[in-house]
Amino acid sequence: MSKVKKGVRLDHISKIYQDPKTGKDFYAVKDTSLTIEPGSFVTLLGPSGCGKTTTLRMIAGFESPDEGEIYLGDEAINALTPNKRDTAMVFQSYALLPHYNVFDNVAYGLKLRKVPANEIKERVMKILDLVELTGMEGRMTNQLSGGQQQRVALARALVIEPSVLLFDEPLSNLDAKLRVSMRTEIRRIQQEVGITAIYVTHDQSEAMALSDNIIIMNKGVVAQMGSPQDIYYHPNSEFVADFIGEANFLQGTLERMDGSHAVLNVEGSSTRVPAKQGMTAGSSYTVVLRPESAVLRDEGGLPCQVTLSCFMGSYQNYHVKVGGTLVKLTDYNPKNKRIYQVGETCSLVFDPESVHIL
Amino acid sequence: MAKSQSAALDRKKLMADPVMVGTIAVLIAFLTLFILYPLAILLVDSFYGGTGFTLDTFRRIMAMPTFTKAIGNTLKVGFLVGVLSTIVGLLFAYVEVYVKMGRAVGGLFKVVSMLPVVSPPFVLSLSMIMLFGKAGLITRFLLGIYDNSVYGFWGIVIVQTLTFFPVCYMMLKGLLKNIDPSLEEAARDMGASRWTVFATVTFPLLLPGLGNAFLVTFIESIADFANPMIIGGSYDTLATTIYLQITGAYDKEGAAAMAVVLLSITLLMFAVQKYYLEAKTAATLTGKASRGRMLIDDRSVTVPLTILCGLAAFFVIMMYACVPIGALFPTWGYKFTPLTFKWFGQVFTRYHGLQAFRDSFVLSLIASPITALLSMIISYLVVKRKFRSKGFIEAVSMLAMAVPGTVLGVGYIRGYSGGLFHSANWPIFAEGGALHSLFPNGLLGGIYGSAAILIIVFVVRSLPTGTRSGISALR
Repeated sequence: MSKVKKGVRLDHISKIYQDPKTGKDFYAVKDTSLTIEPGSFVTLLGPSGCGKTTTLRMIAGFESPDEGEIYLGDEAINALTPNKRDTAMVFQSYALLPHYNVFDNVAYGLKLRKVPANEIKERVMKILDLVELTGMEGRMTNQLSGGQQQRVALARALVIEPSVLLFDEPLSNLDAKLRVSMRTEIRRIQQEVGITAIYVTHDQSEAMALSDNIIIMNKGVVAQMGSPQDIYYHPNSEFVADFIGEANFLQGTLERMDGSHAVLNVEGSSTRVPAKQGMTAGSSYTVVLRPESAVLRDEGGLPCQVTLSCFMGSYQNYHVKVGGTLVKLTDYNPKNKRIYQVGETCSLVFDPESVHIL
Repeated sequence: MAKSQSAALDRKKLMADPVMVGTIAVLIAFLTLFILYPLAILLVDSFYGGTGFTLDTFRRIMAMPTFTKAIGNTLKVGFLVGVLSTIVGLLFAYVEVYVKMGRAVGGLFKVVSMLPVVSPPFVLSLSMIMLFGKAGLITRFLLGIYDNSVYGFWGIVIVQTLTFFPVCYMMLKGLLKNIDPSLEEAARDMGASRWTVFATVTFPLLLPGLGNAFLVTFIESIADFANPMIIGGSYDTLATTIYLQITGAYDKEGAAAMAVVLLSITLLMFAVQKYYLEAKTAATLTGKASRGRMLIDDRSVTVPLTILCGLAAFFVIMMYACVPIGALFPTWGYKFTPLTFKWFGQVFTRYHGLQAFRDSFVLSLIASPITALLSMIISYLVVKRKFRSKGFIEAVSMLAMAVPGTVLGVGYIRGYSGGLFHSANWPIFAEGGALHSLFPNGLLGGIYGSAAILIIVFVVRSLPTGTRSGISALR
């Protein structure tokens, strides 16, 4: 695309809704500022009601922010109606026009822009080729499968060459297998076109697979923003740690500092973990331990007792008690490994570099 | 085949329930006697000339200029009323579903668009005459026009539009609510202005529904008797012509043939509406709304639409308000003060006024529970049970919807005034016949001119409404 890529910037955006039951006002999005780099693929991730869809719809222009300003590139776009904004959205329900065929659905935006007929034809066919729907242009939309319908919706959004592509949970109406193949497809197309994309989902694996950056939202505010690795390995709160992947939380009291590491007392045992800034001796800290980053051994770590041991094929699933804390573990490739049974006492061992202090 | 076994079992189970079988038998008898038979007798009367099949009666009525003129009049009025009602209904439905407005204003529009449904049929005609007639409050006293005539084409069109647009409003409101808002958002997102969205998305999706609403009001307008009778003046429609043919010219065969013509028109439209447009509407609008619709709060849209609806609402309210207020004037159009209750007194004391009130009230009181019960039974049988005559019961009870009141009335006159199948003329029931003393008016002839036949007519006329809402509630 010859167009100059544009990013999106939200400057202290708030959106207030009225609760239909109580009649009270509440913040759907509260004082949110974020910057989305041109050409990047960013996911808004969070539980339902966290404000992610509202944020997306404010960028598209379907909702107006009550406070703050939205910028597309350097241009403030608060006052622009959706049809004047250089964005295109892919909807959860596909939103294809049922009285048009595939070609006319894709050509809709170009016709509105008064593009000459032969150019429309050329551009629509090119985009249909990109989403691998060549030969389907004469079909009515109800003759297409869910995956094909979503490709048409994507083609329709791409063909008008917007500066920003918006996705509102586009895959949640598809079955699990199709979801996985479609998300690779979306990523491929976004990379090929090099367009800025903002993607809303509540599915963390989708967010991981697609994004350059993930923005995790909770209760109307941004909880954390960063690359998938960043968020997975260095979550900044229990909410983020728990929302992305599975997490165990161990409480420990700081005994002493040891260079760049801290020695914590966890359930009566001294444990060395990477330190974070401003730790004080005697204070209590939470350590995040991912289920796959620890293993069970006969000795050499935190003493524990097995309460669940379950073969899952690619991994062995353990629940162990470390003192009073339940820790969930996944031990991959369990074939030929020593399997611990329920009731056995053993030792929880992990590499200090694989844990993270909140 | 395995299927025949399940059919046999179904039949066996049904037969094991004598109450059910009895109910079905009674229902079929009722529907046949009071819906099918009166219509059938019209056909027989108009095609049977004493000796055999004949088209003479039709030739005769087609040669009457009053009748051919009435056909043209009826279709003209029906078409215009259909178009106008659909437009006004769409306006109110669109404003309710799409436009953000204050609770009070929205509530007012809602009431205004429902009011004509519950009002008696000729109240609006009356108001029209009182407000815009020769001695109309507005025409003469406000504008000083002394020779304004409301009687005729435009009078009927205005009054019928106000009476029937709520039907369109309700149908279109339901359809608009079914349009997935994300379709319109997607179009908007692609660069369409609000008007383009309406023209390229909302309107095409709604088109079969608009056709549906148009035909339903067309049928209602054609079938309407009360309004053309009061405000039609010398402008005759089919319904009034048929009535005059039977009460004025006392030409029962002619009236029967005219009724057949009217019935054919309404049945044809009913068939198109029911089997073509309804299926099409369902096909384009199956989508469920995925999220709430963002109401339009853009002033360039809300202000003109509110003004339009407001004008229509003001007109409707004025029409209804003038009836109770007018009842308080000493002499309408001549003497407006002091306000008096004397008319209320007279209405109950003179010209059998009290008796008319009492009769209407008692008849309705008897007819409504019967209608409710019948509709309930029919809906239950149609939705929940499987038996052979189910299609018949459903079709006939819906058929009554397409039968104009005048047609049914003529059918009852022809069907029952001389007993079932004119049986009063049969030798066995005629003067000197063996059973004359038992059935002086022939079989069932005794109900003619009685309260019983009125109640039956009431029941049959409101059965489609009851059955339709019953079926949709049970499904």
